[in-house]
Amino acid sequence: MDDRKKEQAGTMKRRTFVKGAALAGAVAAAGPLLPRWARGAEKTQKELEMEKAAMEIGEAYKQDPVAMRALEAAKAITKDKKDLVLTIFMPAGTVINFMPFTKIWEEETGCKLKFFEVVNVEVDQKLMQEAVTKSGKFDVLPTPPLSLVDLVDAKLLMDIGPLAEKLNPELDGPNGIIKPMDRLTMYYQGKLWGINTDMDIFSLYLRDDMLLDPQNKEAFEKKYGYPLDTPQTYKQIFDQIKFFDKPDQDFAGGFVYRKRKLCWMGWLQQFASTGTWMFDQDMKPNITGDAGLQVLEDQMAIQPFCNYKTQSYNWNDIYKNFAAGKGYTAFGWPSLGKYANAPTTSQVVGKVRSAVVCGTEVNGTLVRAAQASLGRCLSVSNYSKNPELAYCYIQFATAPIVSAYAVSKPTGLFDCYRQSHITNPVVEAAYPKGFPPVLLENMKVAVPGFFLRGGKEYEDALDAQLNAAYAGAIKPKEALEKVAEEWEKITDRQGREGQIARWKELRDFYPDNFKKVAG
Amino acid sequence: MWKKLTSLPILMVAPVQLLIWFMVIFPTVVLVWLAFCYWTPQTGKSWWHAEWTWFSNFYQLLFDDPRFLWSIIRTIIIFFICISVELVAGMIMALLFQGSFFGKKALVSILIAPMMIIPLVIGQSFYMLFLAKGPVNQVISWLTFHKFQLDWLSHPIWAMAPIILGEIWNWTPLVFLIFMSGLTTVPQNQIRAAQGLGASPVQIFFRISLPILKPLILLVVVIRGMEIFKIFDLVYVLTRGGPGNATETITMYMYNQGIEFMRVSYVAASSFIILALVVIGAVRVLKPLQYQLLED
Repeated sequence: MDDRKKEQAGTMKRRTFVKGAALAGAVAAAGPLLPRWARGAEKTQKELEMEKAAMEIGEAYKQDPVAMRALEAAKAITKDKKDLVLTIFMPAGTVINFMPFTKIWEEETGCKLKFFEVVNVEVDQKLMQEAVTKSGKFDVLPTPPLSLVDLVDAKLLMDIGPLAEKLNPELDGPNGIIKPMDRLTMYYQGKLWGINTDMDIFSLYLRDDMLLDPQNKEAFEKKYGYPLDTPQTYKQIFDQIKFFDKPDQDFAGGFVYRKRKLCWMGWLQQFASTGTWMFDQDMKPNITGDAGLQVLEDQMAIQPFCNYKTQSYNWNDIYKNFAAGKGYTAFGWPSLGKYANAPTTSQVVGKVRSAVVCGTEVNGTLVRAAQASLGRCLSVSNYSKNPELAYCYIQFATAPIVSAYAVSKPTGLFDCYRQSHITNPVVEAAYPKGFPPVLLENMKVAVPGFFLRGGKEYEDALDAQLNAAYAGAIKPKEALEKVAEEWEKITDRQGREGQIARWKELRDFYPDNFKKVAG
Repeated sequence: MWKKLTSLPILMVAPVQLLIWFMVIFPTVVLVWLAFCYWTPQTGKSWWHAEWTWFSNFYQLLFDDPRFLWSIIRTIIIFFICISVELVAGMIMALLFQGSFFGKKALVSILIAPMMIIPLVIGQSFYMLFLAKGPVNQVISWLTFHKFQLDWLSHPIWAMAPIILGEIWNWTPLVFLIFMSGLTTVPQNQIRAAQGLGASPVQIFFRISLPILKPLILLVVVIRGMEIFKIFDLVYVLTRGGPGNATETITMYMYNQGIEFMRVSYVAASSFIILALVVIGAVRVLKPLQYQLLED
């Protein structure tokens, strides 16, 4: 019996069966490749999330004149053009911040948005690679303040000053970007290179329930001779970390950043609180003195009471463990507070107290310094094919009301940066109780990071030696001397005169108490 | 007519030649140019407008950059440890798999599986294994009857262990495979003659098999050596060169300088130093084979 006869007779030859199965498999595998109409009208997870987020913002954006000006200008550009797409380059974990208004932008302007995500640690490299290749692949870039100088010098960013003058993104005034760091995160050489979309400044987070516990209060006072309350100095926070550390219960006194590339933050913040300049006026490093050494020794001494005695915690490990209720305190960015306050990610909702960063008492003056080296602003690429449209998107995305919805996304990494965010109820609800005023207080004592040419090199040189010292590979004094030696080389390589001029600018941004002590 | 005949072959070869120009020669020329210049994208200039600085990059690398020299030393240490363990383990495994026995094919397939895994995946697996609260510490705790919690990846000395172990685990199967096929080429009549004269298996291995395998061993050393000098994935995933710079290998150093800090011309110079080192090393290792290779 041949194949046809077999089939007609209701039986099937093996080869025919295999052919049929292969065809069915190929169709199933190609399913996702088929156009939407061929697959049915089901929506992707991303589309559903965008719709949900757009519902949250609703018509609120129409009350935002900054956003409306940007939309009107964008509509004028897209009016006679079809298939316009803007490519937005973003660090991973931040696209969720843009969800609330992505759909609105696309529907209002007809311009599609394509997000290109890269893990945080590789963003700067990709930006610099774009400066070299000049591909024009991205329209909107996430500029970190630490690399702003380098990216401007590499001619990657477009001066958006003239466009901002025309469309008024309200960078000053009651809706403006929080002062004074805005001058360093968006401006360089008197020109505007981007608009803030995130302002990362350290705050202190504590377990409120443990602080309020009467038994803890009594035991602490008995042991240390002063009442248990929000710590004001580093000595007090270190006492509390030691007091609450319970190794037998796997409960850490605190969480500190000890992984490579993160070490510099804690040391730099405490060092600044000693009222010592990082560099003197000639850019000679000032870190090898007693103040620097004492801070490093303090940081090393507290280590056994933190992170379950491991050093390999990344920042997200700290977020997860703190939100899981596995430790008492952590310094962190505003997003840590948001993360610990979200029921979807946290087991300590309502139990977190945010506070102004600790300080050091120097000659009777309490000097506080909040580390403010990170954050991002949205910039337009010099090689964008649609620079004006890209600018409109930036203005829309960072408009006062629109951005309030953006920064309030609990798992998004971008945080408050406009004055109006502080009083916005949507934002207030996203963060621990009483956080917005704390953020403003921390802003007042913010110290700029290495916002110099080659800033990343300075940062890495410090980080490598601190990391080695924390691991016990090198003595503290030797570590700081090596950093100073390396910083000198970097300064010479980058051009001492230019660095001195920039450092002079940065010194003006140090908090008043710091300047009073440091002179 | 003669002109036509000569131009035709040239025309036919030209596309390939042009491709080679662009794929190999052009980037090499750019690299040489950059090695003698000072250039980073931050200068705002195109690379062909870079400032010519003669041997400044080379001088700085060799006499004023201990981080660079230490990264070379570390890579050489990894090379010696890995190559020694891989050669010994690969040879022992190959000897054990001589002859035929039940399940040999299945066992060989299992043993060579690690070399088919992407190093990045191995890095992730080893990262989880060597966490302070990971399985490795747990097993050591069981064996020693007390809580063992070494933070391997942050320890100034032991951080190197997961990297080396990952590399050995990844590539010993390749060495095993090469030796296993090499052992099949050892003439059986020589072995039988030695056995007839009363030689022990150890004597047969050291007097007959090993000398015959010598060229193969040297080739393995060169091939693996070149690969170890390129080790990157494991270091990047496991330690990123830390703690401090304690595990920074030469590729990690070049990544940091070239990609993170964009010191492109400086890294171009360092690549030539590494190239010279690898070529000298390879020639030195292959020297005993020089005459044999030439004769062949």
